[in-house]
Amino acid sequence: MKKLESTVINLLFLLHCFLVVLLIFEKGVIIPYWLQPLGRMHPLVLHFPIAFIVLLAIFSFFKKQIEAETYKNINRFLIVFTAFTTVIATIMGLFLSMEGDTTDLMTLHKWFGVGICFLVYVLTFVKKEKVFNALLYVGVIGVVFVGHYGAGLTHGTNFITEPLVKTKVVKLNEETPIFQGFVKPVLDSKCLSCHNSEKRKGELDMSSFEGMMHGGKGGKLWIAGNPEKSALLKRVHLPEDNKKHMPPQGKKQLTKGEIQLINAWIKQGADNKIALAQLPEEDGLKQITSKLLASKNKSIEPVFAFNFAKTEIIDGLQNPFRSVIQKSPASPAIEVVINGRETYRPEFLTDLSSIKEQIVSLNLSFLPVDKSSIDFISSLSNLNNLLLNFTDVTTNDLSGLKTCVNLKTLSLSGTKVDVEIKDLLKQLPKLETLYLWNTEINNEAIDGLKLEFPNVHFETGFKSDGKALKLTPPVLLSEKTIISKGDFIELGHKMPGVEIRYTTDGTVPTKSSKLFKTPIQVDLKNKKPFKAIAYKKGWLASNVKTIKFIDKGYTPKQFEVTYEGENNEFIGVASRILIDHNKAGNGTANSTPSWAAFNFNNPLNALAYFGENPPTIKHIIFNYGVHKWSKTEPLATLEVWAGQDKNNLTLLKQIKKTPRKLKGDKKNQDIEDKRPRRLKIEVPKNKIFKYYKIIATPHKKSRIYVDQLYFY
Amino acid sequence: MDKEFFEHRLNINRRHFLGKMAMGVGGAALGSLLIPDLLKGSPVASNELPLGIKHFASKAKRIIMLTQNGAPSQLESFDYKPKLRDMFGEDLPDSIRQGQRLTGMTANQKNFPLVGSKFDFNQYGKSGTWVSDLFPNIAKITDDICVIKSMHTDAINHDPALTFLQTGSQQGNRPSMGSWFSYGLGSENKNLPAFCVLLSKGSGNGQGVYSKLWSNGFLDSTHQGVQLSASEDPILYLNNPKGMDKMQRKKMLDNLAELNNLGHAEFGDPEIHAKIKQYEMAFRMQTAVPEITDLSKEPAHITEMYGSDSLIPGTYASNCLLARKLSESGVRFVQLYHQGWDQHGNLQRDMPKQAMDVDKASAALITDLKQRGLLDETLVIWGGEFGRTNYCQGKLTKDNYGRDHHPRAFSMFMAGGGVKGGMSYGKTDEFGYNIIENPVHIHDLHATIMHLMGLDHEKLTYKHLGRRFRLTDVHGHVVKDILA
Repeated sequence: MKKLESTVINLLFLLHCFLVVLLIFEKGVIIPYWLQPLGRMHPLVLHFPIAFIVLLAIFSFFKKQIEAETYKNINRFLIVFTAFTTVIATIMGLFLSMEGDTTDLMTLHKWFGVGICFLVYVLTFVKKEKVFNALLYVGVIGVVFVGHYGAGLTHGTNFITEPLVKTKVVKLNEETPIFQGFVKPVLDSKCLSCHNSEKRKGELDMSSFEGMMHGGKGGKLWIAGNPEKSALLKRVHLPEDNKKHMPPQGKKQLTKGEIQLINAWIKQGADNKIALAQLPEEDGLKQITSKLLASKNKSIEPVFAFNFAKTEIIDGLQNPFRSVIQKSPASPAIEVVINGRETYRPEFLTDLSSIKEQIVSLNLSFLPVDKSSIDFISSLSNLNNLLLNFTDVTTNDLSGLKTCVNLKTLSLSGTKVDVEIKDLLKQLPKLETLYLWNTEINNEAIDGLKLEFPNVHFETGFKSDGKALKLTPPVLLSEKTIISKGDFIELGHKMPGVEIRYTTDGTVPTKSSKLFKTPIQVDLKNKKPFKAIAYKKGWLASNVKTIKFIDKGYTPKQFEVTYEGENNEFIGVASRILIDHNKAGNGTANSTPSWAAFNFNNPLNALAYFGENPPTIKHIIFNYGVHKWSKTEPLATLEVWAGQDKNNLTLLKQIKKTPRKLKGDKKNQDIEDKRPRRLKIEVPKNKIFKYYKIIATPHKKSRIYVDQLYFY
Repeated sequence: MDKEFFEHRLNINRRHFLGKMAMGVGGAALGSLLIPDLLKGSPVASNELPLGIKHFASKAKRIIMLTQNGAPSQLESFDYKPKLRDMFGEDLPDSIRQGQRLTGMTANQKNFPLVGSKFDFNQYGKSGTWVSDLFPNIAKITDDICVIKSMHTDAINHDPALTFLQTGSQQGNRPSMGSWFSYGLGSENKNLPAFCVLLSKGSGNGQGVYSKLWSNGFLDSTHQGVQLSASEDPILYLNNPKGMDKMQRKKMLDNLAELNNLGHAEFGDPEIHAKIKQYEMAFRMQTAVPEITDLSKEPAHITEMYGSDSLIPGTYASNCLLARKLSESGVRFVQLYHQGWDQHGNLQRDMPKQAMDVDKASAALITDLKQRGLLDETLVIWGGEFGRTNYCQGKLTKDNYGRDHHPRAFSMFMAGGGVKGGMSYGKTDEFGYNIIENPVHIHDLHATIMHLMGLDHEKLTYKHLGRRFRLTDVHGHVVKDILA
């Protein structure tokens, strides 16, 4: 123990000599880069001497409670250790101080620190208790000062008192000097931490306007009226990895808007007195700052005074017909929406009493809301926004809302409210918007309300420009155009009050044509198309709807094919679609289920059976289509076989076609020749067959699309 | 020892007890003074938020996205470039094209003759927004919309570009935007799907719209978009079978749920519970859906707003009206597609027809939301998957031209939901070819949309295949300048 102590005492002497040398030759000392980390550990190590010296002082108060010998030993150990850590911390501090510029505060910190270091060293030699204690207490007080100055260097001088000196929240207005109100806060937050009266990096002090005007090592910060040549903006615009770029890489950068602001301010003249009110309207600076002013004075989110509702309560109130939503995690305000007219029950509303305070928005649109519901709503004192559009409320019911003095928007569109609603409006001082379209209140009454309540915006809904619009054509409600003789057809229109007129002779229907009232029968022998049109007062007549009704003919009792068609999982399945009485139209794409596709190797081979008492079939119609990209006629042969036994059929007719080139306009691909086409096969007179077989074979490498077979 | 304990108990009399307690309570009270939220219930830190809650307060609650599939030309809609008219027929300078890749359709073209809009432009509203004569109704609401003229994307063909716009990835294995919102915010109305899809087709050249565009990707299948059919009965198989009334159906479902619960007790598979819930939701939808999808009860002036087409199921107009009704009822994300904007040729003939289809109803939707006080909380987005070239595809004549795909610059507009109205954002050069100011990438658009909905695009993630996925992947910046 003794040996260790003497070693440390010797070491202490050595270190103090080193310290003296450093202090004397301070100006000439250059700290090698590998020693710099040691200097930077100063803020870490300095806590040891502080703790030990305070511990020594406290220890001295308890001398009487401790055995004399033990006290002496511990005291000795502590003082030696304190001296050792103090000198180490001081040397490190000196290293650190040599790295950068010195300020007054730093000088003070340095010499106080050195003083304490030597004081503690002296203490290791003092044996007389009274002298020891006196010096020790002086040392403790000194440590407090050194620590305070040191903290001032790292955190700023008014770090401790900062929270007490409340920065006054200045309400910005048109009279606030732009520099004070807008420019300085930017510079303060982005520059001041390095360029202040204590730190003065680059010999620049930006804590005052005078300091800024004085500039730094690199000269003046700006040239009034010339932002391009101003050093401050030049530095800001340098690429971020440039050494001279400011703020330095890694520090918080200026935003685009802030740069624009400073640019405009310098351009205007870099005047620290000028305020918004003094600038002409077209000035760039005015435009930027007035926008800033508007956004700063506008609170982003309303702040509510009431408490958060418990999450369990909110969760408990959720049900499939009612959503209870807290506005955001930071806001206690709650929005409630109730859905579904048919399923609505008054309890959905009254259950909400546990969150009465928090509800700021309530949406009850389309619900059968009545007086009792309003009674509950009147207890929601913080309600801002209430939607009652298309509900059953009346003006009388609504009078209960007068207690909801915080209402800002109220929607009553589509209700039965009348102009007496103004009694309620008088009691809602904060109301901003009222939705009143589709109510009993006419335009003149609304104009009156507007005069009476100038602070309220009345939303009166869409007003058409008076131009009449065209109606849509009538629709065929009975849908099918391939029908049997005697079937009824029905026309309709979605718009109430429309009258439908029609003709059957191919002429364009007019207002004097036949009026469609009830389902009618059409004459299928009539080759002229059926035409219909819709009329309504205040609307233009619709386009003419032209429908061609086709006779369904005879439907086979059984129908089968040997091959269902190419890709029949995606497009048509032959056995189903060929006799389904749904005709593919002219424009129907080939790749839809309206068509079944066949090729040379897999031709159409269909067998139709008409039962044991077959009807007299006079002819068969075969409908097929050609792909729009096909350049030649795809169908090679069509054969129709017939007979009484499916294994013994005779050929009725064969049609052969050559692969002739099809005409058409290459560019548009709308080839006239490629419409769906129709082949008619006559059955010999007075012959009745039970079975008909139709075989359609395309040319090699061609494909036909078949959509319908008719038997007449 | 017992004696000491006994004495100790005797010493702790009521006064002692209360005295000690007072100290303890005092200490606790002192501490509580420093925790202002202690007795209030507290806001949750945003990085540990459960799903279904916004990350921060925002205005928008719902989205209606009007995707103009096929890519409408920005040069005939919102991006006015008079210089192109002056340079009619002149070749696109290489200094402007800068080696931009072309589609297979114009790659072999020997020259690229510039062509300006055949349709005139005017400035509208207080904001002086430029709109072409093809969109007279949208021109009337310019003070409610924010036109972004500096959109750009990565893809040059329809399918990848549309997939990119919808899912944030060109490959088509990621969740659609609507699915992300369903996942992140849940449904506002539990009787309806959170994500609905409506399709319509114009007269123009139709590019495919596939169900992968509203796929839930790796998210739970409940977040998948539900496609409503273009018929009188938009949601199929919802009605009870003939001869079964509502009470019988309910009873049947209750019994089925009991059986399913037995199954759950035996196997413990959570999917069984999910199934029971789905049945219950379908039952509720039986009453909720007809109330919403019945467009015939709309007041007459609503039909006038949207145009008489709105009475024909499956048209863009009726889809817009249906979208408004769904959104009003709390559907989080309504996705419309209108096909037919792919004017490679005959643009001067076909684009007016397309514009006619959508102009009135798009404007009506925004006006309608506004007159219901819903525009603030509903974000409407209008635009295609990319833009069109400033030069003609094929042969340029005095009155016939077409435009090819152009991913480098195109226009979109947004309205409501916390977006600044009456604003044009971003700029293209005078050729309308490159962006010269404030570019907005598709990822940025996604980030901005999420921000408007109160979600941080960097925080809404889903872990799949060992990594966390986002809608914006590793990109995206919120375009703060267009936020109101």
